[in-house]
Parts: sequence; C-alpha cells; structure tokens
Amino acid sequence: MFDGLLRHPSRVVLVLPVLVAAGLGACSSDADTAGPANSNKEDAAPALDDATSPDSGAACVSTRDFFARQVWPILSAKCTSCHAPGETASTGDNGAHPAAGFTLAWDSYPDFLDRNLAGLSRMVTEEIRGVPKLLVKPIGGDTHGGGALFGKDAPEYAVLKDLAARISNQVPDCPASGGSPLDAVPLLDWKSTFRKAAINLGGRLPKPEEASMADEAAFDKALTALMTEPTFFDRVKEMWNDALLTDGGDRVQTSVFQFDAVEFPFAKGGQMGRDAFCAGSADVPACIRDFDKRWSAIGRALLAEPLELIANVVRKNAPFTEVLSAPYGMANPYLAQLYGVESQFPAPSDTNVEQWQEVQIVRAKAGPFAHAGVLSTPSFLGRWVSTPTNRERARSRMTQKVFLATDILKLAQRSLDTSSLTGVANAPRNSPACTVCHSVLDPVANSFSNFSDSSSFDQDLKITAATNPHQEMLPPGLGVTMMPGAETKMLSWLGTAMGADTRFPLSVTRVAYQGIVGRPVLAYPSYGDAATFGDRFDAWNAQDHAVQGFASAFVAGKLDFKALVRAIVKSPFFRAASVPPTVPAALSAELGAGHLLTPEQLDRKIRAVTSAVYTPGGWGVGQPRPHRLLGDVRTLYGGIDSFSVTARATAASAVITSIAARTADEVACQVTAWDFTRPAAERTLFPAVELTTVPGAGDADIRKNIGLLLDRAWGGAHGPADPDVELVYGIFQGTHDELAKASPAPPFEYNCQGRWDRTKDQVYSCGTQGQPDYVAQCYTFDATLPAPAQIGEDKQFTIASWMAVLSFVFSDYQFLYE
Amino acid sequence: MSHLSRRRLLQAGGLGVLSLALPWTRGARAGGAYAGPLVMTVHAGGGWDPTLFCDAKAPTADIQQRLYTTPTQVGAISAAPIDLLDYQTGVKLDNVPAFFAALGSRFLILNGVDTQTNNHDTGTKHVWSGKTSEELPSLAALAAAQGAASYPLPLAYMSTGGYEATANVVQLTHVPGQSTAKQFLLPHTVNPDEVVANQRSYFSADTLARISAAQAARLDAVAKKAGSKREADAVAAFNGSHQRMAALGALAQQLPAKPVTAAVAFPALGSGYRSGELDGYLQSAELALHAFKSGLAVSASLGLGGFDTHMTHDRNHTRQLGMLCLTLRYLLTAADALGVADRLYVVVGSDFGRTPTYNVDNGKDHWNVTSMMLAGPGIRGGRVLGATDDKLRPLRVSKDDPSQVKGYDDATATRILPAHVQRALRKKVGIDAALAAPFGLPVDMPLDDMLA
Repeated sequence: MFDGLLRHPSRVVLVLPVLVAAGLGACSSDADTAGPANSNKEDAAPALDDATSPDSGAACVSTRDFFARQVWPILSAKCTSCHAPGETASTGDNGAHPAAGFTLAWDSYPDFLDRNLAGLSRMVTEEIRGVPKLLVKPIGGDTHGGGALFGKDAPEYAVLKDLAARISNQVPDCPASGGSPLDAVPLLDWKSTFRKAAINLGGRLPKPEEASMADEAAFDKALTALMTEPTFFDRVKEMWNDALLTDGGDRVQTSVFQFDAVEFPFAKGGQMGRDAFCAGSADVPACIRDFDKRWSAIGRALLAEPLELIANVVRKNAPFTEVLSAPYGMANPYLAQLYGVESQFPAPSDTNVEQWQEVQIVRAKAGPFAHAGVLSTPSFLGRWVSTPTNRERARSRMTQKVFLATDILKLAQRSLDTSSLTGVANAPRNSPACTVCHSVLDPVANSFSNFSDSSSFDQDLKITAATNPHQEMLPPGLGVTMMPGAETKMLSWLGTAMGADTRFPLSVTRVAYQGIVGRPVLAYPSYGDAATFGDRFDAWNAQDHAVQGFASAFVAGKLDFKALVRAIVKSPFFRAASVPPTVPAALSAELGAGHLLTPEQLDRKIRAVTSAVYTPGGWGVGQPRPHRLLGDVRTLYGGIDSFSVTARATAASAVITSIAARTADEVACQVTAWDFTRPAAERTLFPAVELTTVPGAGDADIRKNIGLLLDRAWGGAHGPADPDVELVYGIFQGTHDELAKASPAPPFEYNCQGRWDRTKDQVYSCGTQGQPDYVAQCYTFDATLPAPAQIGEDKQFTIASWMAVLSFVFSDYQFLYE
Repeated sequence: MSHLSRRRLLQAGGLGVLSLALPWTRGARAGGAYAGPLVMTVHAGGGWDPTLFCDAKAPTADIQQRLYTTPTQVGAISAAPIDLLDYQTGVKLDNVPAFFAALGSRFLILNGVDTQTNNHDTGTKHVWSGKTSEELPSLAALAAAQGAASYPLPLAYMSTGGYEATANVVQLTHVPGQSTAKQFLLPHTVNPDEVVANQRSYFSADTLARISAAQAARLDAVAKKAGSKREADAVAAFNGSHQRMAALGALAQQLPAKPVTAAVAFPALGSGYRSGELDGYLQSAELALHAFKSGLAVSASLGLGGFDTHMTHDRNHTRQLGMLCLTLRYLLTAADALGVADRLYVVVGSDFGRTPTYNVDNGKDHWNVTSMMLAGPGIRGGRVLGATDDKLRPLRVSKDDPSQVKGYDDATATRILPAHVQRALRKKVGIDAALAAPFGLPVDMPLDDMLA
C-alpha cells in the first residue's frame, strides 16, 4: 500500500553549476511590463542545472533529483497549463472524463515529484512507433492537442530524452550516492536530546534516573516511557488541534440544538433551557446549578471528542488510520448522557470528567450511528459546517488538508474569470476553470452526504452514494475512485479509502513535524528569487527526503503515531547541535534550537521548574485551577484560538516578549517567598540558601544555588565559575545592595508574600456552604498557609533579590526557547 | 542609537543588509520619532458586494437587485440608495449615499477590479499583495518594514485580521482588544488597570535596569553561540523585540481611560445600542491610531467579517456594510483629531465581489469582480476609476488615461488588476525600490500614476 514511500533513493543533493540554456527556462526577474495581456506574469521556471547524466562527467544524481532539477522546470512552464488536474488535457480526477492524456500535479500537491515521475514513466514505456510518447507529444506528434512545444533540437527535448533514457534503464541511475547535507550536522547527545524531548513532549524535566542517559538504547527506553505519560497525550491533542481547529469554543456549532431530541432524548432537557427545565423542581437553585454544570461539561466534552479520539488511538498504539475509520466515538460520563450510553459509565462528577472511553452511539429511532473516526464527530462537523451552497465543501477541504496533505486553496492560484462563465451550466463540474479545484473537492464533499447541508448532527443512512442529494456535484469518492453506488456508510468508506492513500502517512507526518519542531514542512520553493532558488531547492529537497523517511518509519512502524514521533525526535531537525556552513542556508533555518515555546509549552515548563501552576488569581468553585498563559493572553503570546487566530507565532515580537516579561515577574512574585516557606529539602528553587544568606558571607551558597537554578531552568551544568552564574550573581548582589541602602525600605508587595501554598486550593468564605450563594459568589484561591509558616516580611531583602533573579531567569532566551 | 544596537535592529527586522540602502535610515540617524507614511488596510472579509455600496447597478436582465431600482449619484460615485440596518436590533447604522456625501471626497473608488478568482484565500492574497501565486507582503507590511528598518517600532505592523502575510520583511503583532492591551504595554506594573497614581512596579527602576543590562549581555553571548541560522534568527528576533518592547509604555499613557464604543462615537445610534462586534472594530481602529500617534506603529490591518453572504444576502450584507461605514467614519474622524490623517493611507478592499444574481437561498455567491477604496495624502478623492457593465463584468480602462473606460474586450486597454493597485500604492507611499524588488508585480499595462 505504501510502497511508493519506500522506493525512492534518499539524500542526494548536489550543488551544480548553472547553465542558462539559450533562454530556455531562464529564470527571469520580474520585468515590470512583461507578461500576457491582463494577467500577472507568473514566475518563469528557474535556470537549469548542468547536465548530470552519469556519463556526462558531472557529478551523478538520481533520476528523482534529475527530474526535480531539470525536468520539472520544463513541465511546470510548458505542460501543466493543460495537463494539471482538471485542465483540458488531463483525465480529470473523476475517471469519467473522456479526454485522453496524463495528469501533472502542481507542486502544491504532496509527493508531486514522485507522482509526476511515475506519470512520465508511463509516457516512456508507452511508445508510438517505437518512440516513447514522452518524446513524441511535446514536438507535436500523435496529434498532440497542444501542438509542438519545441523542436527536436531544443534543449528541452535533450533533457526529456535524457530522462527517457534513465527511466528505460539505458542510463544507470545513481541512487543515494551523494549523501545529504543533514549527514554533516552534529547532533545533541542523548541526554540533552532527552531533556528537550521531555520538555517538548512531556512538559517536565528529566527525572534523576534519566539524567545519566548515555546511549541510544537508554534514550529509546526513556522516550517510550515518556510517550505513555498524560502530558504526551495533551501534546498530541494540541498538535492535532492546530491542524483540525476543532477546539474553538462557543463558535463551534455543537450546541444542544444540533441534536435531534427524538434521536437523542437527553437533548430535550437541554433544549428546554434551564428555567423551563427546572420550573417544577423542588429545589430550583440547585437544579439550575446542576443544569448549567451538566451542559457546560457536555459542551466541553463535545469539543474535546475528536482530539480525545486521536489520543485514544495513539494511546492504544493502534494504526493511525483508525483516526479516520474508527467505528466508535468517544465520550466521558457527561457526554455519555447526551449520546444515550450513560449505562456504560459511572455517574458524572468533577473527578471523572477525564474518564474517556470508546462508545457506539445508538439513536432512539434510526439505530446505530455509522462512525468514521474524527470525521463523524459533532465537533468536526460543527466546526466545518455545511450549508445549502457550501454543500459539505468546507468539510472536504479540511479533511483533505489535514489527512491528505492537499490544500485545495493552493490549487486555485492561477487566473480565473467567473464573469466569463455566465453561459456555463454547472460550472464547478463543467468548466475547466472550476474543475481544477472541484474535481478534487467535490467527491470528498459528497461523501459527507449522509449529513444534511446544515450544522445538525443528523446522519441519514438511507441515503446512498447513488442517491446523494448533490447530484449536480461529482459523485462521492476519493480522487479517481468512485464510491460504490449502494454504499450507505459513506464517511466510513471515505475514511478507509483515505487511510489507504499514500498521502495519508505523509500528511500525518507533516502535522507531527510541525507540532514537534515548531515549523511547517517547507513548501516547494517558488522561483521568485533566482539567486536563492538553488539554496532553497537544496533545502527543500533535503527536507523532503527526510520527511519521506519519517513517513516511511511511520509506515514501517505499522502506522503507530509514536513511531513517527520517535523518528522526528531523533532527526537533525530536532537534535541539531550546530550546523556547518556547508549546509544550505535555507536548511540551516530549519534546524536546531530556536523554537519559541508555545504558551502551552511555556505554561508546562513553568510548572515543571517551579512546581506551581502559573495562575491569574481567583477562580470558580469546583473549577480546575486556571492557567494564566492559556487565558486571555494565549493569543498574545503567539497561541491560537482555533478561529480568528489559527497559526502560531514562531518568532518573538515586542508583545510576546512583553508578555514574557510580565509572566516572569508574576511567576517570581508567586513562587519566591512560597518556596522559602518550605523546608530546604522540599524546595525546588532555593535548596542551597536561606533567607538569611546574604552577599559576602553567603556568596558560595548563593552561587551554588544560582547554578542549580540555571541547571533546572535552562538545562546544562552551571558551576560556580560559570559566566552565567556570575552574571546572575550580579543581579542578586546589586538588588540586595540597592534595597539595603534604601531608606525607607521599599514595601514588600502583598501578593508576593509567602502567605499561600501555591499548589493547594481553598474556597474563601463569601457565602454559606450548601446554599446557592456559596457557588454563585465564592471563589477559589491559593490556600492560606498556617500563620507560623507564613512569610510576610523581607527583612534581609533576599526575597526581593531572588525575585529579581527569577524574573531574569524566566525571561531569558534559554527559558523561553528550546 | 549606537551602531551596534542599530545593527541588531536591522537583523531583528529581517531586512539585513538591504535596509542599509534605504533612504529612510537617514531620519533615524538624526534621531526622533517615526514621522513617515502610515497605512491602515480595512478588509471586508468574505467578499463584499459593491453593487450595494460604491458600484450601484440598476437591475438588468443579468443583474438582480431587490433593494433598489435606481442608483443615487453622489458626485462621481454611483451609490446604492439604501439604509444599512442592523437587523438584529433594527437600528439604522448608516445610509450609503449619506456616507459618500460625507466621506466620498476623501476616497478614490476603483470599480471593476478583477481579482481573477472566486477563492477566498486566493482572492484575499491577490487583492492585498497583488499576486495570486505567492504570499507577497502587503503594502502594510512593506511600509512597516521600511519604517522598522530605521526606527525601533515595537508594533510596526499590527493586525486584527485580514491579509497578514509579511514574507518576513517585518514582524506582525496580533493585537488584542484594549481590555488586555495594558497587560503587555506595562509589563512590570503590578496592576496596570489601576489609576496611574496608584500603579506599582514589581521592581525599582534601578533593578529593572540591572536586569535589562544582564539580558543584553546574555543575548550577546547567546548570539555568538548560535549553532544554526534558525537559532541565530530566533536570537536576533528576540533581541530586537526586547529593544522595541521598551517603547510600549508610551502607548499605555496615550490610550484613553475607557475604550471607544459605538454608542459613544455615534450618539445617533442611541445610548442603548450595543454591539460587541462593532465596538471591537472601533476599538481596534482606536488602538492602531494611538499607536500611530505614539510613533510605535506604521501599519495596521483591520479585518471585518461577515460578508460571505450565501444566504439572506440583502439582510446580512447591509448590516456588515453598516459596520464598515461606521468603522471608516470613526477611523477618519479620529485620525483627524489625533493629527495623523495627513500621513495616513486607508485602503479598503475585500476577497472579491458577489454574483449579480441571487441563489435559491436569497444569497449571492462569489464573483471575481470587486471594488476598492483608497484614501491618503496625494490620492485624489471624489473620483471613480474603472467600471462594470450591465452583466457586472469588468470594463477595461485606457492604459494612458485610466479615467477613460473602454470596452469589456478592448485589447488596447486593460482591466484593473490588484497588481495595478498595489503598484500604484507602493509608488504613492514611497516604498523603496530595493525593498520591493524581490516582490515584483509585473503587469502588461501599468497604471502606476492612477492615484494622483
């Protein structure tokens, strides 16, 4: 099924001299007034590299690289205008189009090189009077619809002839002979790699037993264990929400009104509203509280379901295709009520909301629901709703973007004049101007036709592929494969078909790569800047080979997502310690450290380093402790809200750095005095000093503590003579001296005093426990410490001095980046 | 500004050596706040309908129009004679002819702009960058890059939506509502919502200076050890952001105590009128204008939503147009009051236009022909360039005199393309040729002087 991923040679990149052959394919700069009438002049193809056949005397390259460097520029300039999917000379993707020819995928398609090379291979093996079609059609032979594109004496023809010779084995291939620039990249040792992985994937620091990791086997063992920890699954959910964008809060249409109360009787209560629902209750306030809590929890569970399903598949080490084909949904005790499967769960409570399990929905009248993994979850359907004019196309677009690495919106980058289509009936299906997208878009869209053109969760299994309500669209299916007409569980069919598509592992790899490395996989370089195209192409090519390798490891690992994570984490893209100058600059920009932690990762790192959650203040009774960085500053710190902001920031802005500064100050305020309220052996930040340890007599202990603090927060080993220790000591000493000389002494900010346990909750008295006003008016805060344990003064000015130190440490590049 | 810090700034701005050649750098060497051109782009997200606004069309065999039969001429502008109601409240937000009577003289209207697509992403990209195939930086990004090359602008390019591609020429800052803005404008203040007199800092000025000096020393050391271009870029960006962050406090002092609301800005709506959506647009505009006034920002992208009206088009679209009109009214009025109008370019556009006929849901679908509105110093307002015919097709304009409308298929003339508009804007705003060179916008028949 995935042979295509495994077959091509890897890591062949050569830096070759440039031959601008007689104007052919020359990379022209954007001349101001060139180009066809009434259109932007799109990029010309880049300059061709020197001839690189094995017998040319030049360095040897594989057929794939020869194709990428020399053939593709010709094809993209001369052939794709007619042979791209949906264009006039292509077969189209519905299989029903009568036109002859072959299809050339744009470079925005995943694995376009291999796909196109395979297509050309067929054009070589198929001959006309003993000559490969590849060498007949472009010169106008065999009634080529596009006529003669060039003559036999043209450089383009020579290149195609060379390719034909390679494909037909007249010229030996040179697979994988040159090595990859990635081979020369020095890597972090396994211990440092694991610290990075532990923070990135586990939200924690290495454990003592992991600190002495010496070899790959130990790393593998530790990574395996790390990938069973709860935070790892939180990370999995985060990286998949970055792609699916389903955790979008109230704007995702998953309200109770999306559920038919006949099929989901529990929804009827929610649809009544709390006042009507509780009107006859003996205890109306209690009923309202219960109502609000239940439906709020159900709403959160609905949003979480697709991500929990993905985490479930990963947790089971099941083939990741189950994400699309799973014959089940997911529910927790609250959501189980709405789905009518509460008998399989304990009674819902605050303590079991994270108790998720697979469920099969059985509707009251229509019977069993046909699940198709995440595709059939209310959250996915409610995030990407259908309308009478959209007709499931938003669902199709996201499905293919996330799981088939096919961005429909990238397919429509050429000129289109809809104002000229007024005479074309059903243009999306019949006009080449539209079919370029719709031939890809519509079969998948139509595969959602068991659901109506609305946001309702209303699967109708009486509809078949043949009787679908969108007869004006291409029939349900995937690409050129049509769904059997009698199929009723269309999404299940689609999910299975997508899982078998070679693009699926590549697509999953892209999502995982971006989630772990923090940058998207490179797109095929545009030709815009001729001077840098070679460098950018080399970078893309090296990374493309690597990504194909990750996907191959994923496939070889039986599509276990953890195998994919392991391959990426062990690659230079995660482990590069430095990058030699021989590596293309565009590739160096993708390697090594420099990943700005996401707000979620920074939040977890703060907790790991300080042992306290960074909390904004009071929160509701019975609610989980809020995380400051996941609240209103999440998007300010470069995070996403899954609706308005859907792409993460990858570099610090003034605002991000300012938020980091505020975070550092507030965390320092929250944890400094508190840490000193604990016995030295229990402290996480100040185990080597006391409040009475001051500059001068206490220098050694202060420096020792600074070293331990930097080890913990920044990683590495910091001895007393380390320049960073000296730098931090200067902050401590300078601040201490300043405060000691101040008259009067500056006040000790109340909220920074050591009066509270930052890890324990306490509901403060502002109502009567058991009465309605208790929940309605009370808030939870950090628990107050017993009076003798409290620190309300800073007589030695050491707390303020350590606060300044922490503010510096927590706002440092080494803390904010990994 | 020392040579070293200036170098850091250039690295952080992503322009590198390119910026050294820019004429704008001379002003920075002489000191002073940024005083160059300002750019505000206003994106009507989803694809607006110019026939309900600035390209009113009487119904024809090919154009359906249910809200009016005869356009109203306001000067050169063919305005749709309609009230813009907020159907959710019944409140009249604006009236199209009244809007153009008030502000039409400031705007150059471009009708019949051919976006060459009916795809949202491609259309947005095309309108705001001038190209469909690549995500080139918008005018806003280029202007911000030009300013940031010479001045420490912490919010050089702000955005609340719309087209945001920068091609890494400048860093974009997503700007929140004002309610949380002070959290980052005053990072060391314990409670920035308190009145200024009561505000306290976590650390004294001396301590903050000590920390800042240590941070600078650390960043120098980290930069020297950077093991890859990625890390070097990250350190440079972090370094630059540190320097730009220092200026944020000025904006905090500049902002009014209470953010603007629609009810306050437009008393005619009634004191009871509440719209979080409209308030959000106005407050984003207010924040951007104050950032301009403070010398912290060059450009802002303001995104309005709700124009993709495939259903109940007339009802839904007029509400969004009402919000757009009020946002533009506030924007220009406040810019005048703050004294930045004489440097401010305002560009209004959308993904594309909408079909001339209604679909079965009383909606209008995607249509590649649209309009744009431009205002700013040196742009002669009160004019209309380009036109559509009675099939809502784009008519061409003379390459020598774009005010002359030609036939639909007159090969001697050209359709107005977004590339024409962006080229002309780049020229008018004064984007340096070296900065724009990698992002060329070749066209067959340039209309580079059409704004004058």
